[in-house]
Amino acid sequence: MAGTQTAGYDMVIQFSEDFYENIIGSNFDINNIVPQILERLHLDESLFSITVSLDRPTDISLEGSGENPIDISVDIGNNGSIGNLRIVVGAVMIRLDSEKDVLTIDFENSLYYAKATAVLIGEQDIKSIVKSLINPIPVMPIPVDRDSVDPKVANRADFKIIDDTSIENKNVLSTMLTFGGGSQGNHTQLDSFVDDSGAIGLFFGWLCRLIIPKLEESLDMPSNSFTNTGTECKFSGSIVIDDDEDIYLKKLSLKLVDGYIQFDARVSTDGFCYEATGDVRAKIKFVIEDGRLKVIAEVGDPDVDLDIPWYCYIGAAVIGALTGGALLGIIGAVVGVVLIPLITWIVAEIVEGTFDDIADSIRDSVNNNLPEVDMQAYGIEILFQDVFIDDVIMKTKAIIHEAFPIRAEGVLRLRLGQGIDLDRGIVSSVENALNDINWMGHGANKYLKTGCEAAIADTNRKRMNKIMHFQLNGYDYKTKQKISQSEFGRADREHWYSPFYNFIENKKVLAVRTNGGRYSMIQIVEVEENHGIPVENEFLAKSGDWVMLRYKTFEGAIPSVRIFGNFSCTKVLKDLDELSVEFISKNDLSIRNPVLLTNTNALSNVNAVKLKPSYRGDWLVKLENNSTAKANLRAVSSGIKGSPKYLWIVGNHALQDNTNGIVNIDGEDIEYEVKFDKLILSVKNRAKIEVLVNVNVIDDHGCSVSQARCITHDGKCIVAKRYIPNWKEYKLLNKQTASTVRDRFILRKTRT
Amino acid sequence: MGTPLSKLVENKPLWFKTDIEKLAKNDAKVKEALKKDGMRELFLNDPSKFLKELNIPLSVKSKSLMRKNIRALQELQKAHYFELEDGQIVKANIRVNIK
Repeated sequence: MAGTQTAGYDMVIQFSEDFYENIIGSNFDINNIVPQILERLHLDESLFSITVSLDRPTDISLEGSGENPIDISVDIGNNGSIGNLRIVVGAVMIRLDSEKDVLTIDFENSLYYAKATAVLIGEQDIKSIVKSLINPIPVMPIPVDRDSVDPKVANRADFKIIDDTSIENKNVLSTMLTFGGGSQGNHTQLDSFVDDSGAIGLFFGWLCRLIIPKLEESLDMPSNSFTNTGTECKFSGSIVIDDDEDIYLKKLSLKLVDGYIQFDARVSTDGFCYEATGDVRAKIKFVIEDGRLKVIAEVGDPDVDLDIPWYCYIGAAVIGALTGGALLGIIGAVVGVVLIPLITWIVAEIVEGTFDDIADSIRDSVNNNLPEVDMQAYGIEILFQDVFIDDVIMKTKAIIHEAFPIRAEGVLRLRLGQGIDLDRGIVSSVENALNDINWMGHGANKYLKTGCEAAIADTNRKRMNKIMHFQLNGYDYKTKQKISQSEFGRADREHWYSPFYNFIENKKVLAVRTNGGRYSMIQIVEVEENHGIPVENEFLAKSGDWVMLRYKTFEGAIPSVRIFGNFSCTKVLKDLDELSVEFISKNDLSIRNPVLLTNTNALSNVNAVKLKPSYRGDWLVKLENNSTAKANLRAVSSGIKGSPKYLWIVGNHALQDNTNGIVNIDGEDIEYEVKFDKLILSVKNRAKIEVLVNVNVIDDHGCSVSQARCITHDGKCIVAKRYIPNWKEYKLLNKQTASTVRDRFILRKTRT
Repeated sequence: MGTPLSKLVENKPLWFKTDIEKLAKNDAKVKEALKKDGMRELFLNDPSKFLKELNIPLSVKSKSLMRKNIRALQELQKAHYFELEDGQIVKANIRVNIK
């Protein structure tokens, strides 16, 4: 049934187990958690793999409330040959202050279970180790205003782990948001609606709460002109919608139907001897194009009712009135001047503009690019992939950008007889003992061979950028390996006897543990052969035999540190007295009539009235941010043991841990706040500044690593926001000449 | 709607005023007839014949002009086509309701 999927919550964000596995794995990885735990458990092993399940454990008893458990399993050794560490931890919503709800995996207060096999250490001691080593992981910070009555501002975030017991086992962790004017949904009725990695559900009643004020304001209606039933927003009064033609809007509704939103509008006009009423219905659908949600309307045929008193009809028949184009003009005005442009305006501006706003706020929250929110050890990028309507559900793909330092990466060509040192990204002859892999052999017997002490494993995956560093810990690496060319693809011959063929690469990704002690990935993306044709010159013969190799080597046990983060403008916008709105024209159709698509040819002979096209494009208002630019910097280290100390230096000022204050660089005051591995810098929005930031990380043994970065702000905090024109502005635009619109159409508005 | 008859005959020739006043006297009779099967269609397509069946005689001039102009009113009741900006055509279905 339409409108039930979000169980009454305004917005529901669901991500699958894989998403949380990547977040937890990435967090463990960057903080070197598992090796530290293994060390404390006296297990001397570097091979491990992490899996995360959202199934509620039934084989163990959980301590404490046991609510919303996340089951983390660490297999130690090759396929768990040495043992297993199991941690069950609760997800909680931490309401930090009046401005933020943070979905958090809380190892400190909600550790329900921690036990390891192959060790003699008891559960309580393991719990103590886990608690001491793993800080709470903030997964999704949601900015909230508890008193918000604004449907654009959330006042509460809740969450629920859904252990899906169906055969698909679509377990998800669901974050539910309630916005101003809404009420909490019923979490007991909430099910998983994720097919793959993630999905975002929007309650139609909330969309109505967002759309109604825009429509009321845009059409000069008094507030509360619309009703909102949760599945329909509807106006059924009477307002003038076109002064020039004296046309009234009598009905306007957007209704949730399975698979689309049904749009209905009725307008009417009357005059001497007639009353004309026009009705039109359109199906509003959503598509994702280039990651952006686009709204399209499939317009049905309009109906026009002409009510004429009988004696007028007779009279008209006698004297020729009502003909001569008068009523035809009225029909044209009802359909062409009001109904069709009204659909275009509602679809292209009101509905699509509302979704753009929503998409922006989702990206800001989920992609975690709010400068006000503490930065994490990874970035999340949300890509909208598909959309379907029950409530409005947008399928999403979540990409976790891990912060684990990369030492070297690229694509290079290895000729036969060459190898690569993956630690340094240097290609040289196979004679080089530092090579991690070599391309060797001849003819049909070419192969990739591991170099001295380098080890290799098949990941059984083909997309290198989906493999995270923590996942490389778990493979079964073997030294002294030869991998035949045939394992990288197959020869595609036109004729079996032909010496010429194309090599179709299978793009398998291999994991390599380098002889420098780092993890790397390689992928053969192209194989080129000389097809066995004898060439006198040995070099030329070999030069036709090469492989194009993509590789990525992470930093390893060798200590290193990198500074992540940059200046970005905070989101508080200056309340301007005047707005300058610019219309940027683009050729983009969002309206169509599929019913008549197949009839167009058949109808090509009819005498159709060509409607003046509406201009398509974006209305943009550029606003200057009047607050501060803030840089949330974090030092991410690897290979550091124990509890390191972080020494931050800004310019020439060494900053003490857990302090805040102001330093002056180049005449600009920079506010700072230091906390362990984090440094927050704030400057005025118009400050043009270059700051040399240096961090020294010193471990328990006194070893130190450092990195310096130049952090800059260009003094600009201009935000271009989409502006939603009201109906009069939309009509004003469409009265302009094409050249005016193409050159520059600017609307100046004074705020009231 | 409420278009008054007086407005309809304003500045019109005498024969027209006479005929319309004759029609006005038969308002109830015409409305009753319009409820009967087939009579509405007859009214729309051939009002002259419709009135004859109801014994409401009009002047020869009115009948003549009616025959001449009725085609234009019939055209009005056909569908009207509008070409949208993407080249597709919507068909506006016109319903003429006689009240």
